[in-house]
Amino acid sequence: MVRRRLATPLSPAEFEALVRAEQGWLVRYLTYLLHDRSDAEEVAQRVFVRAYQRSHQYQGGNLRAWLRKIATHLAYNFSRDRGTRRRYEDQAVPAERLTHPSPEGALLEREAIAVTLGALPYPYREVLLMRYLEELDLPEMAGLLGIGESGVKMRLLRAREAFQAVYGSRG
Amino acid sequence: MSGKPHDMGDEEAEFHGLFADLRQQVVRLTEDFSARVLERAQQGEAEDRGAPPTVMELFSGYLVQVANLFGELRGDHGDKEDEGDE
Repeated sequence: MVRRRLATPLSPAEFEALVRAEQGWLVRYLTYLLHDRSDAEEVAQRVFVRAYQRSHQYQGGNLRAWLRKIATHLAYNFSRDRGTRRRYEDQAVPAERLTHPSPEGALLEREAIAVTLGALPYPYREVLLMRYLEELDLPEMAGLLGIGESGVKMRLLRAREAFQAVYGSRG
Repeated sequence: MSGKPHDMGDEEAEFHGLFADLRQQVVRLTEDFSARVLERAQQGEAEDRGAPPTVMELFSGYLVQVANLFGELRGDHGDKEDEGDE
């Protein structure tokens, strides 16, 4: 990870190294958040391009947290715009559709979690992934989401309940 | 990965465990992903440099033109006033 303060814009070589170091976790996070791998790669590219263009604004500290902040905004905007474009396709998957057995007889655990996440409203999916995939603490989540820590706790509680309701209804 | 957040209670630990498989997942991207991102970033820079003037730039240019014109008119008018004063 590039840890130095970016007082000057990144050189192309530095930027490519940054992308290589950070692309894995970012695309994984965005894939589960947006429930679409190609959309995740598109948004990941936008995140890195934004970071490149604004590298002079980086104030040092946790580079991954800075990228995460950019990703939070861009993913939300992308999801909102996509929802407008594909209003009917992007609706949550009904719980009963999640219980259909796969050809192998049962969904893999990871697939089941992914499908369950995809069935949840975006804000619930977002907090669950921030907390349990990205392992963020409450203050960082509050900062990213622009709400208080008590608000984060409440949203997490509701998100867990919603997740369990869908996940628990699997066949 | 930073590890389990220090402020995570027992109830949350269950969820943390449930997501363990996802955290272990390694995402494979095509070899040229970073190259494509770099190309896109540099393309964006080039577009910014060649971008048409913004509304503010156009407006400020217009203001300068108006100010110049006004100055010229004021000069003529001033001359007349000067003449009148005299």
